[in-house]
Formats: sequence, structure tokens, C-alpha cells
Amino acid sequence: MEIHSPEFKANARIALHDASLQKALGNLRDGFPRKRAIAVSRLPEFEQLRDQARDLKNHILSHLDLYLETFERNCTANGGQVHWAADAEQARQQILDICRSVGAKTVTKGKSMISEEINLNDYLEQHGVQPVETDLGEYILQLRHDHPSHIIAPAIHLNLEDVSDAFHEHHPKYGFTERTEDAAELMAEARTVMRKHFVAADVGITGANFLVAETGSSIIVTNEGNGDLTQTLPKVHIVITSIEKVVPTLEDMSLFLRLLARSATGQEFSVYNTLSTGPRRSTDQDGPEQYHVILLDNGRSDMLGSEFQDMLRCIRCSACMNHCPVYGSVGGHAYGWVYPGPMGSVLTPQLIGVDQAGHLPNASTFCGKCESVCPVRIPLPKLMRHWREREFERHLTPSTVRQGLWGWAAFAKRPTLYRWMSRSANFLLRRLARNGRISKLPLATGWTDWRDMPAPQQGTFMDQWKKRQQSEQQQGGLL
Amino acid sequence: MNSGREQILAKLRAKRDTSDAAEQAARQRVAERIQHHAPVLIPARGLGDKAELLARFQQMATEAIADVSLHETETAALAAIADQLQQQGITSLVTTADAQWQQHDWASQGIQCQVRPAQVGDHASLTPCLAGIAETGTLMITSAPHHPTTLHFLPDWHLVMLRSSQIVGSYEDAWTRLRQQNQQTGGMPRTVNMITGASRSADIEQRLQMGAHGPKRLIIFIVMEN
Repeated sequence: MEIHSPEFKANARIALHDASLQKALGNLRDGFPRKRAIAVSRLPEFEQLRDQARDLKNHILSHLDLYLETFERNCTANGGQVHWAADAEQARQQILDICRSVGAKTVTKGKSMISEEINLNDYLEQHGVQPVETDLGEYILQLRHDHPSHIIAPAIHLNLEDVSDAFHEHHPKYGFTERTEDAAELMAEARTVMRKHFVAADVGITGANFLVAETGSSIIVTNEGNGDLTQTLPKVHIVITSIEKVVPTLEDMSLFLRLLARSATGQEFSVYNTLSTGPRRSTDQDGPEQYHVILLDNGRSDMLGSEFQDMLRCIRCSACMNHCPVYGSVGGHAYGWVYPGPMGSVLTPQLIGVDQAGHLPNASTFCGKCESVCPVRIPLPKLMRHWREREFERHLTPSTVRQGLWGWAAFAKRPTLYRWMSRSANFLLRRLARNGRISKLPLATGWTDWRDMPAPQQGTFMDQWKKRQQSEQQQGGLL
Repeated sequence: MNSGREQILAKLRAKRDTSDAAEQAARQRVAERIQHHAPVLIPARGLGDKAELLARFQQMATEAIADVSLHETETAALAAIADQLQQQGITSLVTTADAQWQQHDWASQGIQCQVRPAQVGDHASLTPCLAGIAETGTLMITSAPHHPTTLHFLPDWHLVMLRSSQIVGSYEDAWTRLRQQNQQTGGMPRTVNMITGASRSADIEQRLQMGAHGPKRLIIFIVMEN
């Protein structure tokens, strides 16, 4: 996927004026947060599970090489093949080599954000292998030459009409000549068309939500069942995943599964949680003959031991973006690369560079909602602040921002001047107010065009503090 | 071939204390965690007596949009299945070899029962399962030489026979059953399916539609055992 993160501001402006996108985003705001809240309220142990998930992830990260080696050993013992990819190029090459070794023409794909991260589809197409996305949302996007705008609801930026248009353009060759705007009929079309692809594919590629070191297994979590058909019907199953996905045991995986669906869609459990361990056994009647797992690093090992290590706990549930007022206003495409929302604002600068993605950690009101819903308690606002600091240190912030900060510092570091200025501002603001509200304010029309500014009710904080301390002393220090 | 391997592992190792004592302690912690595979925290809803777990399984599976019914015997369940297929005009059924369900008198109700992996176009499959997990109404089903995985995904309807003794409280209880089975069969099966309700998607405008790529209906027949 091409990088458009440097254009975040322009992207956001366009998104805010895109009526169709705004309509589609309304579906998100009304849906996921409410469903998550219900699911959480039904599981009294939820907060305790979050603490344990955070602690377990920290334990895994401090033993990551050992758990990965254990995974490799057990996967291999069950007949699987493990490949290690330091970067995107190595991962793409390994996947293409496997496809070529079986003369693959078409490849079905389950939903995988890692495959977006390494830009796998374009690469395969350029080398003569046709990828077919099988998740309904991803399939719609592939027909439209579009990209996911959300990590679990990839087509959330589209409306029913967009899907109708895409199917009407591409499905007549399968016998579907009538345009329909019935969502159930559209899904039935996709089901029929996709069956042909499932059967014809030579290789099936899926991601993995977790890898289990104990058994050498990978697990996918889906609702549609497309991932299962992708990994069961072709001769070869390739799992493309990243190194931080490993967990020690099946019991440890259960902890994360209890948090994942509830945090993501608000379901008690996703419909299909499927463990794959090695290729089909010699006497099995179906299943792939080869099972490959690609372990991608691509910058993650650099995060280990750094101030961004906490981000490696992420289980890709999407709760942070579902609850984010910025994501909810501009959608995922504005972020300009694979990972949107708060988790993307922390991860993207690491993966493509803060020089390219510096806008993203600034695109936050720091309201803290993301951290408050994160199932593994990643301190997302703090991590975004670290990126802002790095950006400032490297002189990447715009000069207006630097000058503004310099001006602020000039006051903030001089208490007498600062108090005098704030007292004057307080006085002036109170004079400007009508009925306690200010409806027009020079230099702040970005605010007052939309809403009134509340006027200060009393003196400055320092004045009030002084007064309070005096009255406490008069009352003998007791309040 | 795996130059990436040494590169990645070396970078990960460089981030932790690998002095002899620390390395030995770290390896021991990892080995013990894997060997003991202790549960982390099992929510209260994964605990209960037999009757409670049966009721919870029924409630949670129904909520997840599966059809659940109780039957006194397996024969009674098979008769109910045949009736249901006949009512819907379904004349073919694919099933697994192990349960000998193909021996049932399907023909008298105009149903052809076959033992084979599923194919595109199959209307209904009938399979056994390893466990029913009460906490979320989830079925655990494993692949085996006589039990192809395609039966769970290609047919329009997936029918599952669940014995009441197979109902457990939590995922952890189901892993225990899986480990017992693995001891008999010699290891992990290729596929472990955890299935909760029928296939669905909300990818079009976040509106839930049933029957995306997997079965449009999941129908569970619970056979009561003492």
C-alpha cells in the first residue's frame, strides 16, 4: 500500500466534507462501542482479565526469542515449516517461492493486516500469481482497487450503494446481471462466486491472531468461515504473521480470546476460532499437504526494550479506533497507511518512519478513551507523546508549532510575567463575556465559530489558591 | 535459507540479560510455563454443576444463533434430524465414518446419507464433536482420518450431535479433553475448530447477515446421558 501519511491534514479535510464517508462512519460510532460495553458488562472478571493479559504479554515479550524457538520446534515436529523474515521483502520473497514451488496460479487469502503491511497482493500480481481476497469486506475492496480503512471491518467506509455498484460491474460474468441493493442478496452473490475460487486455488494464505508455542499451532478468528475454507481446500497453507503473536500455551491463548471478540465486535466469542497444526496427517481426507508459517519482524525487534515496547502487546482488536473521536470523524484512509486510529498513530511512525508519519501522533485530542478500552492496557496517549517528543528533537515539527511552543515556554518559565499575563487575560475574557459566555473571540474563531467559549468564573488559579490558603490559615489550617 | 532467523533471534536476545544465571532462569520459566499450562483466570460463568452448564450452553449457543434441541437417545435425535431434513426438502446428508450414523434408516424418508469429505453444493452435514463449552455456547470439533474438516464449512447446514457428558464449563476444560484425546491419537490433530453459531458477516454497512461463507445454519442435537 502506498504511503499517504504525510498528507494527513489534507486527507482529514477531504474526509470531513465527504458526505458518503460521514454516513458510513455513523454506522461505526453507533455500533461497536455500544456492543463492547454490553459484552464487558456481562463478564464481571473483564477488568481482571485485562490486567492479566497485560502482565502475560509483558512476560512473553521478555522471553520472546525463547517462545519463538519453542513454537518453531513444535511446529516443525508436527510437520510444519517455519520461515523467518527480517523485513517485508524477505517475507514476500518467501511466499512467492512457496507459490512457485507448486506452480500456483491463484491464491485465496483470508483477512490479514500483515499482508497489507508487506504489500503482498501487488507483489504477487506483478509476479504472475493472482491473489483473491475471500473476506467479504476485503473482496469488495479488491474489486474496487481500494484498501481497508479499519483493521477488522475493512469496508466500513463504504455504503450499500458502493457494494452494489462494485458487484454489478464485476459479477455479470458469473451470471449475476441484475443490480441489487439487498445486502443479503449481495452476500449470497459473493458466496457463490467465492466457492469457485476456494476450490480452484492452489495456495491459501491466512494471517494468525496467535501462535501457540506449546503445540506449534496458529489460530485464526473469523465470523464468515472464509479463512477456514482458505486454509483447508488448497494444497498449501501459508500463515503470514509477526513475531509478537506467540503465546505460551492453549490456556494462555484462552485469556486473550476472552478479551479479543468482546473488545472488537462486542461478541461473546467470534464464530470460528480455528487452530491449525501442521499439514494434513497421512490418513486425513482433507486439509493442505503443506503448512508454512512466515514469522515477520519488520521493525518489531527494534521496539523491544524501547519506550514503544508496550505497543507490542497489541492484539489488533480495534477497540482503540472504534472509540476514537478522531478516527470516528475522518475514518481510516486519512491516516494514509495500513494501521489507522490510535494504534496506527503509534505503530506507523515505527514502521515507516516518524518523518513520514509525524502527523499521526499529533492527530489526537489525548482524551484517553483508547487507553481506557485497550484490552492489554497499552498507554497509547503516552506513546503518542513519545513520538511527538522525537519529532520535536529531530526538528520535524512545523515552524509555527515550534515558535508557538517557544512563545509558551517564554511565559511558562517566568512565573511573575506568566501570572501577570494570565491575570490580564482573565480580566479581559470576563469583560468580553455576555451571560458567562463568549460568542466571538479574536484569534480563536476556530472555536467560537462553532460554539461559545465559557468565560472564567473567578480569578486565576493562583489567585484562588492564595485566597484559599489564607482562609485555611485563618481557620487554623483545618478545612 | 534462514539468514533472517539468526538475525531476528540475535536482536531479540540482545534485549535481555543473557548472562549464564539469567539465561538459565529464563529458560526454566519458559519450560515450566509450557509444561504446566496452568489456567490463568477462569470466569465464574465457566464453572457450575452439570445442570447449570447444560442450561448455560443452551442459552449461549442459542444467543449465538444456533438451533439447540434436547433428545433422550441418539436414535431419537437421528429421527428428529431425518424429520427436519425431510420438512425442508433436503434429500442428501454427508457424515463422518466413526459414528456409524449412515446405518440409520434414512432411505425411508427419502434421504441419501454418504460418508465422505464435503463438496461444493452439499446441503447438510452431520458430525460428532469433542466438547460443548458452556461459557459461550461453543462447540469444539477436531479433524481426524475419519472426520474431514470440510464438513464444517462447505454444506449449507451443519448438524452436530453433542452428548450431554461432553458439555464442559470453560475453554480450559475443553483443552483438557483435547489433551486426553491427543494422548490416544498420538498428538494434535491438524485442525481444531471452535464454532459458536452459524457463519455471518456485517461487512456491508455493519448490518448482520447470516450465511457468509460457512454454514447458514448450525443445528445442535444434545443427547441426554445419565
